[in-house]
This record gives sequence, structure tokens and C-alpha cells, in this order.
Amino acid sequence: MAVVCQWCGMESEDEHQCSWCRRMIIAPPEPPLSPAPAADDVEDAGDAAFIAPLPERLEWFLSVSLPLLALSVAWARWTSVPLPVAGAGASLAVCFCLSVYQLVESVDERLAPVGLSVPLAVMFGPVWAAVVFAAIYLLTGRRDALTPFGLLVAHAAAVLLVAYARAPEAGEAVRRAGLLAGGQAVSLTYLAGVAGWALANFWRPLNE
Amino acid sequence: MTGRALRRWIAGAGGAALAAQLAGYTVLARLDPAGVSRRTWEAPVDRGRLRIVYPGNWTLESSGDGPVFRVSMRGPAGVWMEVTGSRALKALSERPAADGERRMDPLQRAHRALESECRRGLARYSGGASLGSGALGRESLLSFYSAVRDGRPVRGFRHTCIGEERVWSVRGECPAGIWARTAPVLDGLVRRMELP
Repeated sequence: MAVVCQWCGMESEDEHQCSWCRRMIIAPPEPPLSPAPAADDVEDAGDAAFIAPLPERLEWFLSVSLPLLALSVAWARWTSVPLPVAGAGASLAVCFCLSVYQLVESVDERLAPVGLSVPLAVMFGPVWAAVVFAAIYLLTGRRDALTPFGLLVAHAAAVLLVAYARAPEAGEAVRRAGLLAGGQAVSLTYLAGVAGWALANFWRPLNE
Repeated sequence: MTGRALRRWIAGAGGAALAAQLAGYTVLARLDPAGVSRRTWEAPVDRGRLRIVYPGNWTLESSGDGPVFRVSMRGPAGVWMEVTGSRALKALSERPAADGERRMDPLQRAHRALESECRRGLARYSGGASLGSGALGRESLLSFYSAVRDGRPVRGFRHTCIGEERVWSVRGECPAGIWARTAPVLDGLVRRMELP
């Protein structure tokens, strides 16, 4: 009997191990008898079963993103690569890790808030855009504002580190990284961060 | 080593590499006379404006708005610059030429008069010929020198130009060992200066 793999979404002939991604297939939770819970509750219960605990995801994130950031910083310092290019590389790597280790929501459901964050970050800089999404979360409680907030913070940190390697002075690095002002070439590096976030969706469970 | 311990070890190594790089770059930047950022200092002088753009890791002090106006800048590694504007020298440059100065124009006379002040505190002074320079936005003369200050070899330059009400002298000096690296920085500062 063919079953749908909860990791890659493909139909697997083996009901224990996915014949496509080779991951172990976990049986879906038994349907409740009564009373019938809301559909969202069932979905949330499924999420909890498939996502590793937060400390483990954080460990994975740090163990991959920190060495990558260290390499990006050295790259920006010791080569003549343009700052926007180095910043874009660092932002892509960090936002990719943020998404692939499920520290932010995935692209399939949270496209609109992240899409909104792009023009905000490009026009006003990532810090002001992050402030907007933090305010939205605090005022309305909308959890989907946390995804662009996380991406903007990770992006800003990555670009700031790269800019600091090039110009090791706090104020100058903030200025060069375009954290507080948009409309610069470096502002477009947030697009690379969003691309990394979207790219990670190919490596993470689709049933999140 | 378990997977978790390995992950923690890699994260720690990555974080340490990042922190060490940032700390190292910070120290190097603070020791570099070129600096990273630029600050602008301005003052109204003689119905005009004195404007100096200098590296963010230098210090700047100004003194006097009377006969001599002086701005001193100090950078790391013993690099310094001084901008001096003298009304007395302006008068000196405009007085009729003495017998030995008939072939000298006012600018050359002022430049020569400033040489004795330049030699102060220096031993084994060796100055080069004066060259024409437009670095200060108007006709100016430039001389390079090498000498020994406090037992250490130094190299420097001095620009002289005649402003509206003062003769302006811009001097820069640094240890001889870092001259090749520092001279372009000092030259850049001179070129961005605006004198009244």
C-alpha cells in the first residue's frame, strides 16, 4: 500500500521508510473519537510530532551558520569582493540555516508577511522593517509577523558583521551595512536572505 | 564524540573564529593612521571657514583666534598634522623684498620663513626643494623633510599658502618607517582641507 511521506510529500511504496528520501515514515496520529477537535488543533499536534526540540534546532543552526559567518567575514576582509556581494552571501547562508532548521516558519504558508518585508527593508533598511514587524506582533499577536522579523534580524546581523570586517568601527559599519537607511545597493542583499529562506524549503519537511 | 557534542564543538569553534576576527580587525583599525570613518571639523575664521576632514580615530584640538590660529591633529602610531594660520607672516610676505629676496615671490618668502619653525625640535634636519602644489585649493608650496625627533627618524612635509588674511601652513609628520603607508593618507587630508 502506498503511503505519503510526511518529510518529502512523495508517495512511498514502503510504509516504514520513504522510497524517495529514505527517511522513516511515522504513522499519522489516530483520528480522535469524540469530541472532534478543530482542524487546526490536529495540524498543530502533527507539527509537534515532526519538529525537533528548539535547543536541538538552535544547536544545528549555530553549528552551521557560525562557521559560515566566520568564512563570510574573512572573505569580506581579505578579498576585494564588493560589500553587497559579501553581505548577500552571508545573509543567504544565515537565512537559509534559520529556515532549514525550522527556527522560522516555512515559505508555503508565510509568504505574504515576508513578501511585505522586502519593500520595507529595501526602502527603509532592515532595522526599521524589523521594528514594524515586532510592533505588529506585539500589538496584534499575529505570529506570522515573527517570520519576517526573524529573517530581518538574522539578515541585519549577518550584513553588519560583514560590513564591520570591512570597516571595523561600529557607526561606520552600521552606515555601510545600510541597517537604518534603505535605497542603497546593500539594501538589496535582503533579497538574498529571502531567497535563502525560500530555498531552504526544499530541505525541510513540507508538513510543518 | 556524539553528534550533539560535535555540533556544539563546531558552533563554539565558529563563534570563536568570528569573535577573534572581529576583535583582531578592531585592534588593527585602531592602530591604522588611515582610520575607517571620517569626521568633519569646521570653524569660522577671518570671515571665512576652516574645514578639516580627518580620520575618526584621530584627535583634534584647536587653539586661538588671534594672530595665530592653530589646529593640531594626532593619529595613532605617532602620526600628526598641524594647520597654522599666521597674520604676522601674511604681513611679512607682503612687505617689500629685501636684497637677498628679490627673486622670491611672497609665497616663497613665507614658505622659507616657516622653515625655521619647522626645524624646531628636530635633529639632523634634511629638507627638500620646494615644489608647486595646488593641494590646498590655491597656489601653494610643498616641501618634504626627513629628520630625527626624540631619537627616532621621522619624515614629513609642509605646505604653505597665502590666504585672505593669513599665511597658512599645513604640516604632517610620521615615523620614517611608516611613511610609505601614511603619506597617501596625509595627502588625502590635505586635499580635502578648506582654508579661508
